[in-house]
Amino acid sequence: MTLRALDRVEDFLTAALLAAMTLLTFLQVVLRYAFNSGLVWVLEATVYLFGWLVLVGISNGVRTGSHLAVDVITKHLSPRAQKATALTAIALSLLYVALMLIGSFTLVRRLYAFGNLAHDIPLPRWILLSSLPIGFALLGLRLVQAAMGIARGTAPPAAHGGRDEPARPAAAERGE
Amino acid sequence: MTVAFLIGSLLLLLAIRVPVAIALGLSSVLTLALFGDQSLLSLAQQFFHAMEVYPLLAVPFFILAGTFLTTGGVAKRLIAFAIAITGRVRGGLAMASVLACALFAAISGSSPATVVAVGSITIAGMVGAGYRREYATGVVTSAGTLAILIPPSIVMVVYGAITETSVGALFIAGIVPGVLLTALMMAAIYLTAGRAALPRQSSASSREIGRAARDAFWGLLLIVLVLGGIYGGVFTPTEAAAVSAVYAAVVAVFVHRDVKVRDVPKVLVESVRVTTMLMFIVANAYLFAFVLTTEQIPQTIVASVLAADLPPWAFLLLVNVVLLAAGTLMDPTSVVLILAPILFPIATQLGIDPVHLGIVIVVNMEIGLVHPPVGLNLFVASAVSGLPVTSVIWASLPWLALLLGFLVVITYVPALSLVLPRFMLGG
Repeated sequence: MTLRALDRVEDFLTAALLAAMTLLTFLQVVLRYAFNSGLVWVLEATVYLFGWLVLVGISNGVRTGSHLAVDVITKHLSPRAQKATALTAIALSLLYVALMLIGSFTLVRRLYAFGNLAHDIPLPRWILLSSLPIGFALLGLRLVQAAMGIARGTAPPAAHGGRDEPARPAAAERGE
Repeated sequence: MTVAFLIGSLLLLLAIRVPVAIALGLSSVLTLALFGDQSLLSLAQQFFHAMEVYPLLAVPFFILAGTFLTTGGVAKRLIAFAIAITGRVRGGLAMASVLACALFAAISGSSPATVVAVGSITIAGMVGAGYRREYATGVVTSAGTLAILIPPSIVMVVYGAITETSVGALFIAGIVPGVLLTALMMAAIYLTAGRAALPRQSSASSREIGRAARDAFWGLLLIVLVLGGIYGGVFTPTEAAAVSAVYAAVVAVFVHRDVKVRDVPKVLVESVRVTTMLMFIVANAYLFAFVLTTEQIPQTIVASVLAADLPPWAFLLLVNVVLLAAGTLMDPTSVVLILAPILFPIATQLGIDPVHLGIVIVVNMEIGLVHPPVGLNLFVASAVSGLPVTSVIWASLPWLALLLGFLVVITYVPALSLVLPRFMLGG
């Protein structure tokens, strides 16, 4: 299971979303100062773009191992115990995904039933918020993928994300 | 019982290396499922709420700006400028590294990014000029922490968002402590330069200084633009972040031309990675804070603290001890997100200013970045300098002591943090 095409789609989509958010917010400043006007829908659009960016990006972070985790304890375990704890950690993460998936699916279904539109964007809210169930579903997929790698021994027992130190300086821009 | 389950399950999940974000989220969801009456639907809404908090929109923009500035040559030019003006003082190159970190901190909000941007140039420069590699690395590892104290700062954005404190006020409050710490670090180098037998450089002529300043112009202008814009009320911190991201991109791609147009997607992808890693923790921290609120946990703690008749100074001491202890296990942002919602209501009850508490927490996080075993700057500096992590830890120890002393001053002299925001905002 390589999912290469999905990798590329995710990268492209999230990069485009980040660029769009940045340019929209920048445009709003320019409009206010240069033309003394503004677009009402920009803020709301930026929020939903951000939602899609983060929710699609989370699963991407599992693939690239960029989610932080605490390894002070597990790194002292034997390789076999490390494999076992890693698989347990993924199983528990999948429990989290399942619960959040139920919650966000219920939310989207209810919004669909109500059929109300967003404030300033002419789109129904359930479409804009479907980033939630889609994001959690993708996260579940990536976690299963990571678990299979660890179980087969083709990935280190930390493939679900979580080193406490950056492997390379380029990954160092962590936001602290 | 509820508190015990929430904290207990969180620690257990963290211990078996469940990612911090998921550990926060799962312990919150389970606590609510077992003890509360909230639906999973409202948790999904709460999760999405993190993306609707306006100040948090600054996070992706500041990260994008930082990635462009680190990838491009802005850092290199700021360093050349810092070296030119520190002149021929003994230890001048080390002092220039501190100054360069401070300047870079004023356009970037991330400490590890500052260590990479400045360290990858100045460590080699100092070693070439005859400094010990350990000394050079120690200087940059510690001065890199200025990034979260000198605005803009991502840790401040996160603290401001989760406690509903003005991010603008926090930024302004960071200026005096930031300048003071920069001066202290440079003074420490100056005073020990003789004993450490640090080399000196040939002095730069005024024409060379002028040229360095002209090269660094675009970087220096960004400092004026961002800080001036926020303080002058021209734009919000979030807008300032978007403006500096666009500015940094234009300067890197079209002015300095050290990032090619075809490399821009790579910069975007790298920024997305950092943004989502951070926002996943933030969104789950909102679930955690939601549980704390619905189960009235801070109120319980507040009651017992007030019953114990704890004076504010003792509470602040306790805050520092708890934060430093948590900082030995986790990265700064996670620590802020877990502890700020608990500490904040207590501090307000005791009459401690929210902005002052924010600065105390930020200085604590600076220390967390350079103390073992998980101080992120130590690992980044090790990667940049090629020294083993243990050597970096030893080299940073004297600086750790300086930071601890500085923390005491910041904790017990609130005026240092509050004088500027009160003066500028009249609050």
